[in-house]
Amino acid sequence: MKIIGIDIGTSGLKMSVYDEKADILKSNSATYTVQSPFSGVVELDPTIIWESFKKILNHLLNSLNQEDKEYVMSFSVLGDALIITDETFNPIVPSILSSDTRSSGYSKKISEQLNLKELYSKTGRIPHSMSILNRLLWLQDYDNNLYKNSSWFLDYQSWILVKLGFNPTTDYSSASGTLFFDINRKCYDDDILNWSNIAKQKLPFLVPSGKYLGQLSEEIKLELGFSGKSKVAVVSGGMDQICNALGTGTVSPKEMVCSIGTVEATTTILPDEIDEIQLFSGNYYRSVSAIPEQFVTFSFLWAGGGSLRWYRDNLGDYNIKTTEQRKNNLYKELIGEEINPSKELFLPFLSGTGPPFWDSMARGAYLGLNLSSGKQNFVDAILEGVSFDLRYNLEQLRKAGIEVEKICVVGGGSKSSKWLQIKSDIVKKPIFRLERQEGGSLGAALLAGYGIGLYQDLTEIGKKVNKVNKVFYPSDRFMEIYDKKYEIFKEAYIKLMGINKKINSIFRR
Amino acid sequence: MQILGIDLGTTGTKAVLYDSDGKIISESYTEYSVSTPQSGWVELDPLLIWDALKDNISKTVNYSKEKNFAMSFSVLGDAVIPIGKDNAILYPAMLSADIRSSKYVKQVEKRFGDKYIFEYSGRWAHTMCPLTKILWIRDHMPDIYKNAAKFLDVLSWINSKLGFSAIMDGSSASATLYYDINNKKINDEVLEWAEIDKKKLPLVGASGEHLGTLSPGIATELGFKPGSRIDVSLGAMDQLCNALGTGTVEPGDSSCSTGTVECATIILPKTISDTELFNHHFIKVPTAIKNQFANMTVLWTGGGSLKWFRNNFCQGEIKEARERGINVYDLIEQGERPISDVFFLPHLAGSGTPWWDSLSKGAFIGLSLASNKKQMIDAVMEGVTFSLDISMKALEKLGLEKKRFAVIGGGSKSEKWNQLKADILNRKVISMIYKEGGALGASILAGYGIGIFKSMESKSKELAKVEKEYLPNKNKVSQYNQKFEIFKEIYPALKDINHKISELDYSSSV
Repeated sequence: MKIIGIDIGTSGLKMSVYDEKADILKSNSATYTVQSPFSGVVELDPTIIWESFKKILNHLLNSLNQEDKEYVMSFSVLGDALIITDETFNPIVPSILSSDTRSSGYSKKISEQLNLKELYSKTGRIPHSMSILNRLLWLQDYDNNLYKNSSWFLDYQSWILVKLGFNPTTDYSSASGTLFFDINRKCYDDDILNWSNIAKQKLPFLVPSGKYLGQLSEEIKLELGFSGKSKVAVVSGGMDQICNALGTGTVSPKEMVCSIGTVEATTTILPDEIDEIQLFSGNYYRSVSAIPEQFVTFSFLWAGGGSLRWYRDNLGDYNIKTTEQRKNNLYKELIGEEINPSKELFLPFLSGTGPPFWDSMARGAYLGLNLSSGKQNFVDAILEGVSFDLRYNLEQLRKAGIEVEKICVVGGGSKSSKWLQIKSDIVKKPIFRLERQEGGSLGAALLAGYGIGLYQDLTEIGKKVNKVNKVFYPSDRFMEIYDKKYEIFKEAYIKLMGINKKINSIFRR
Repeated sequence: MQILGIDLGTTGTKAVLYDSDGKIISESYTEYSVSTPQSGWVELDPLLIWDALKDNISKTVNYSKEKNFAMSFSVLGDAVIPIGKDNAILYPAMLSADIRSSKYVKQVEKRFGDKYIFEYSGRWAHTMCPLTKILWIRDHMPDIYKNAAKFLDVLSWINSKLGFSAIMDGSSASATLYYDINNKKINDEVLEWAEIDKKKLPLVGASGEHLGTLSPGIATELGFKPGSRIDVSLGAMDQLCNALGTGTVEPGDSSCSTGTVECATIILPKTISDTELFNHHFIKVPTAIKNQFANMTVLWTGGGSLKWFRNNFCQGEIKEARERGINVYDLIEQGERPISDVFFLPHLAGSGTPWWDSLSKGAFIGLSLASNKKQMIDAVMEGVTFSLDISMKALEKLGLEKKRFAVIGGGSKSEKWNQLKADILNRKVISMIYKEGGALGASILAGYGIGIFKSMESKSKELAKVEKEYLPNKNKVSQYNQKFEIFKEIYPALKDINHKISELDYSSSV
C-alpha cells in the first residue's frame, strides 16, 4: 500500500508518496503562476493545475517500484477558490483565487441585509471578498449572463474529483469558506442561498474530510499512468490549513500551528467552551476541522516571511543574484544568530492585516529610526514585528476563552532558531519546531490512510509521525523591553490608521 | 587689498582669498573631527580649529604679493569653551549637538517660561544653548567652573587668540539664551538666577565691526608674510554668513543650506510679530545687517538622512559608483519615477524646528510589498524638504513674501534635490555658483569693516552669483501638496510613540 498526499496550492502543486507508516518515499512538485492582469484580479487557469497533476503523478509513478498494486490518495487544497464551469465541467473563465478583491464591495451589501451575528453563528464567517457568497453576488452584477449560463460553481477539490471520475464533491472544511455553509448542521444554508439567489444544484456535494469516495476507473488509471492491475482508492481531503494542522499533530483543543511562510498563518483548535461573541467581535473565523465535531480558527499575517523577503529584495544585499544564494541568505546570513532587541519598531502590514482588523488599508512602517539604525536592526525589527502580531492574535483569542498552550511551527521561517527564540520570548509560549516540513501533503496522506481504515484515530497519528525537532522555551531575558515594545506596537498601528487611510485614498494600491 | 573669508565649521575650516571684486584667488580646507566621549556628548578641541586656521591661511596667502588684507569669520554657533585665567583651555568646546545639558533646559523653562525666554532671546530653551551648558559645567565639573575666567564661544575665542577682546556678534549671542536681542544687552535677571558672573562672558558687538589689526607676531604665526597689514572685523554665525553669501538680504529672501544638517535662514519682514513667531515655535535671530531679523529652521539630519540611508542600504551602489568613477548620489537618485506612497520622517537625531523635539525619531511609513529602494530614497529627500515646507508655509500664512530662495551646501549639488525643492515649496529655487556661502559672507563682513564695501546688502547681491534656476513643475506641485498634507500629520501621530521608544531601557541587553 502506498499513500499519495497531494497538496494543491496557490503557487504550486506538490505530491508525495508515503509508505504505510507515513514515511516519505518520493516527492515531486511543479510551480505555476497566478495571473493578475489588473489590480485586485487574481486568477488561475484550472487546466494548468490538471496538467501539472497528471505530469507529476506520472513522473512519480515511473520512479516507483510498480510492483505495488494498491494506492490511496487524498488532497490538501487551497481554500476559497471559485471555478465556474459549463454542464460538462469545463471552466468557462479562469478560476478566481482567495486574494482576488473584486467582490470586496459586496461585504457591505451582505452586512446591511443579513444579521451578521446570526450569519456568524451559522457559518462561522464574516463577509469578505474571499468568500464564495461575495464572489457570486459580484458575478451576478458583473456578468449576469455568465452567472446564468454556468452549470457549476466548484472549488479545486470538487473539480479535480470530477477529473478523476467522481461527482463534484468537497469537504466541510473547504465549504466553511463559502459563507453559505452551516458549520453546525454541515450543510448549505437554504435561507442564505435563497436570499442570494444561488441555486444549490450548482454547488459541490458535501462530505467530511477523510471519507472514502471509491476507486479510480480503469480508463482514468490508464490516463494517469497506473498499471492496469492496480487499485487506486480516493479519499476526500481538506482545506490546506486543516491538512497542515493534521500533519503537525495539531489536533487537541488550545493547540496552534503556525506556518511561517510568505504569509504567516495560524490554525488553532477550539475548545468546546468558547466565548462566541468575543470570537465574532474579533472577526475570527470558526471553521470545521478534519476531526469530527471539532472546530478551528485561523489568523493571517499576509506579509510574514514576506516582510523579510521584501527587505532582502529591496534593502538587503544588492550583490546576491542566484536563487540558491538568496534562499540561504534569507534565513542564514540575513537573520543571523545573535539576539539583540532592536531599538526600531516594524509594523509588518505590507499587505494589510488579517484578523482581528482585516484592515486592507494598513501599511508597513519602520519607526524609531536613529542614526545608528543599520541593516541588522532593520532585520531584527521585522523578526520582532511579525512576532508581535502573533502575540496580538493570541491576546485576542485569550479574550474569547482560548488560552493557547502549545505552538507548533513549520514553514521556511521555522529554520531560524533565532527567530523562533524571539517568537517564544515575545509570545511567552513554548514553540515546537517539527522534524517534518511536508505541510499539507502529509496531512492529506493521513486523511487518505484514515479513509481506508489504515489509521484509526486522526488525533494520534499526526504526533506519532511528525516528531518534535526542538522546543524553544520562553526566556525572560528581554521580557521587560518586549512587553513595552508590544504596547507601543499596538498603539502605533492605531495611531497610523488614519494616515494610512489617507495614503490609500491618494495612492491606490 | 585682498580679502580673507574664513569659515570655521564643525567638521573643518575653510579659508578663501578674494580680490576686492569678490573674485576667488585661492582657497584651502582642512578637516578635523569632533569627539563623542559619551553618548550625547559632542566635543571639539579648539586647538584643532586654530591649527587648521593657521594651515589654511598660510596656504591661501602663500603666493599672494599683497600686503594689505581684510579678514573676518563665519563661525559654528552655540559652542562653550571654558578658559582659564592664563587663557588655557580648561575643557574642549561643547558643540551644538551636545545634549548633556537637557536637565537644565527644563530648569530654565520652569524658571522663566517659554514666553518670556522668547521675548528677550528670540529662542527656545534647548541643549544647544550655551546657558544650559554652562549650568551643566557648574554642577558636574565644579573645578573647571571655579577656575574658568571666561566661557567663550568659538568666535570670541578666536578673536581673543588673535589679540582682540573676547567678542562675539549679536547672531552668536542670541543663541546663548542669556542675551536680549531687542535691547542688545545681557539679561541680568537670567545671569543672576544662573549665578554666572557677567565678566566671564564674551562682549557682544555688531557683525562687520572693525576690531583692529593683527600684531606682527600673530600675523607671522598665522602664515602672513612679514610687513603685512591685516584688518580683522567681527564675523557672524555661519547661517547668517551663508545668507550674506547667497544674496539673502531682504525680507522674504531665504537661503537653505543642505549639509548633514539642513538649515534655512529666512529674512523676516517687520510685519510678522513676535507673538506670531512664538505661537508657531519659530526662532528669531539678528542677522548681520543692522536691525534685521531672520527665522532659522534646523533639521539635524537633512543631507544626513540621505547619507545614513546610503551608508546602510546602498553598499552595492557605493561599490558600483567607485568602479565607474561617478558620484554615488547620482547613481542612487537617478531616474524619473512617479511620486510614490512612501513617506519618511527625517528625525534620525530628533526633530529640529519647529517642534524642538529631541526625542522624536525617524520613520518610514506607507510601506507595501510594492515599495522599493528608489521610492524610499525619494521619500527621504521629500521628507527633508517637507520638513522645511512646514515652516515655509506657516511663515507665508503670516504674510512672508516668496522672494529669492537660494540653495547652498553639498546637497545643492544635486539637481534632482533642487528641482524637488522647487516642486514641493512651489517656488523658484536658485543654486549658487559658490556653494559654500559662509566664506563669501565673511569676506563681505571683512570688506564692510574696513569701509571698502559701503553696503552689505548691495555687495551681497553683487557677489552671490546664480548658477541655475529651478522652476516648479505644475503637475508635481499639486501631487506634492497632497502628499504634504499627509506628511504634516505624521509627526503629531508618532510623537507619543517616539517618546515611549526613547524611554525604552536597553541597558540589560548589550
